[in-house]
Amino acid sequence: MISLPINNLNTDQINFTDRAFDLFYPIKLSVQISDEPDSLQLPALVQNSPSRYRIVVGREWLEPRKLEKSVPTYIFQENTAHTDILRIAANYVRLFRPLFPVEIARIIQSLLDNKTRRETIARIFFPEIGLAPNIKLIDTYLNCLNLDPNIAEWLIEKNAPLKTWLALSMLAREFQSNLILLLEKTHPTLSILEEIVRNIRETIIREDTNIYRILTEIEWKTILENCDLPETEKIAILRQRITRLRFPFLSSHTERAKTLQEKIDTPPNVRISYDPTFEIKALTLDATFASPKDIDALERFFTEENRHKLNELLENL
Amino acid sequence: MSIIRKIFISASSQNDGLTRRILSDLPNLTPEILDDDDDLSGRDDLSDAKQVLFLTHSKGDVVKDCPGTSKDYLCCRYRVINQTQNCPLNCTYCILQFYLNFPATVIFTNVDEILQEAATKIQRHPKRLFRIGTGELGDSLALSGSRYFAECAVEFFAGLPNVVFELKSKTTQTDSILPLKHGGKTILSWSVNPQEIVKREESAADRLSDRLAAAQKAQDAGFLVGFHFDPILSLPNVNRLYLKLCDAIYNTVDPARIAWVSLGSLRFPPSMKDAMAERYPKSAIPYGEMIRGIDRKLRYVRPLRVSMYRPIYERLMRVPNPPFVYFCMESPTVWMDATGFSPENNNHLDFLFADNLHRRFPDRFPIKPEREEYDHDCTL
Repeated sequence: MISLPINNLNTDQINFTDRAFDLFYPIKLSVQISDEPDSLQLPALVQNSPSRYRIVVGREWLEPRKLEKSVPTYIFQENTAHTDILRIAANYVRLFRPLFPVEIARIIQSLLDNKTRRETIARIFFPEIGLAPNIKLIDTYLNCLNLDPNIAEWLIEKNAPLKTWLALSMLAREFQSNLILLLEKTHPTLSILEEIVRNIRETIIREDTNIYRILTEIEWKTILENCDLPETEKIAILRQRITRLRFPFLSSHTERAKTLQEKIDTPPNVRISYDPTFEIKALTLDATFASPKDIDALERFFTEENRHKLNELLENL
Repeated sequence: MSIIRKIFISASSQNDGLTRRILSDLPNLTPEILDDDDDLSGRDDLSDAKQVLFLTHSKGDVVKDCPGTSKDYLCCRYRVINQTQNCPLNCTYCILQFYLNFPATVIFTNVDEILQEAATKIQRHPKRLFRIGTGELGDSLALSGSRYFAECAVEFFAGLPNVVFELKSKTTQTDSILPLKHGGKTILSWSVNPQEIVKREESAADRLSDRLAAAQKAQDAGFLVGFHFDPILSLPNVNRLYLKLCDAIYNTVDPARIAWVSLGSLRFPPSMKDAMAERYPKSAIPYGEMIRGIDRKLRYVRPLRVSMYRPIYERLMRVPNPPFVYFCMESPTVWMDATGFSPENNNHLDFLFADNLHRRFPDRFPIKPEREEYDHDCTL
């Protein structure tokens, strides 16, 4: 155990330009801590260094207080082991919110840069910050360093699950930069973004193609930068086009069935439906009777022509 | 070169003939003898089940009905002998590698008991023809322990009147099987795919041409053969490859002496998609046009399946005296749309097998099957 006393540190002793420990996003993203000078102040974590004190956690509290005489801090000594600093810092952040995957990635990278063995990271360090002692997680999390910072911030804002972080971190940077355009222009929900990414990625692998071809084919940029289209329409068009690429057979089958269904002159109290996956080849007819007229309408519906069209639709399901 | 790195043997299996034969093939490995109540469960130090062999006695039933899991898809009423559980072949699409949740490849060495269990169950229904095989939870011939069992089983089933025994493989390891007295009751069959797919997705299995050559040798030795187009994969430009595969089979073996050909498209539980993608990140297989079927498994969308099956079926039926071609776990709608015909139910399909074998090979299957014998469910 390391005991850290709280000290009031003179702000002029803090080296604000030293970013050796710039590993964590501000804690206040998910915990409201006032920036007002008179409000309750949480201590920051700093480490003594040859050129004054470097910030470990709490830059977002210290920056607005640069002009104050002193601030409360926990101080690591210069000779404190790197792993101890990271462990305490990570758990300090965890007092307020879970660590973001990209922060874990930065911690791992920092440990590796300091020659900590991978086995030590997995078996000893991971459990200390609430992770399973699984060595495979090292590379899994390190992928998050590939994330564009804008996407990382969006994932934090959306409180995205780990699975989404990892899925997006596997994408090429070019793909990510195109996603940023999507985020800016349409503000999609997390689930819609996941669907778009999954369908594009799976199409790329299946068709052995690349992101440029896909995005060109669906006119990604043109649609997103079209000022005449509202956000909802942009996203609807893109989703439809991407789905058609991912499920070409199913899409054309669906369109054919839809066309045949539209040809059928259906009274307002009758609804025709079928299994959208086409696994079951059957038509369902729902009829609502609110008056004798509705019964007559159903009776009139079964004309020779409509029977033929119903049969045609059924055969094409 | 065997991939086996470690052998465990239950005390009661030590002196079994099958155990001794397996050990003589692996002279450099020293087996670890376990108490009979130690079943290796909970061992987390065994990282690759394919490299660990566990020779033991079965504790429950080994001879079972094939788990055709849904009433909405027709099941052919096949019966399985789960003597070997796991497979050394690493086929990308194989469900075994993800779902056999056990740290070793299991081989049951109590051969006589297993065969007797099969005989007892089969003889309860003497007027019904049973199709039974070992290739459900592992390749029938890839491991020596499976082959040695197969050798015993071939001669055992030769003496039973109402059974067809099938060995299903992706290998060519038939040398010890061919000289056996099979009484016309064993069918040697191969799971097949176009060589382009074999190369990519079945890399540890034998080449297609080698499998077909082995089938030819099996026919020359008097065996009926079978082929399983399973899983049929939907990949870009793949349909013509399946037609070429049909031609390659018929150019190598005599179609009139093929007992049956099954067609089945790729299907797997949804959770296997991520596992497959993680294990084989470059494989396109998880990303077909799949929907959740009535049995909740992912499978290609039905019209796509029909469009894959129909040309294969037509090509296979284009010869005089064609083999019995059937679908594995398909809906009556698919049967109808792909072939113009559908069995009425599972029992009818079972009857059609027996009837086809009797009509085409009366010297091997002289008992004429009666439809009413197949009107009731018959579970083992």
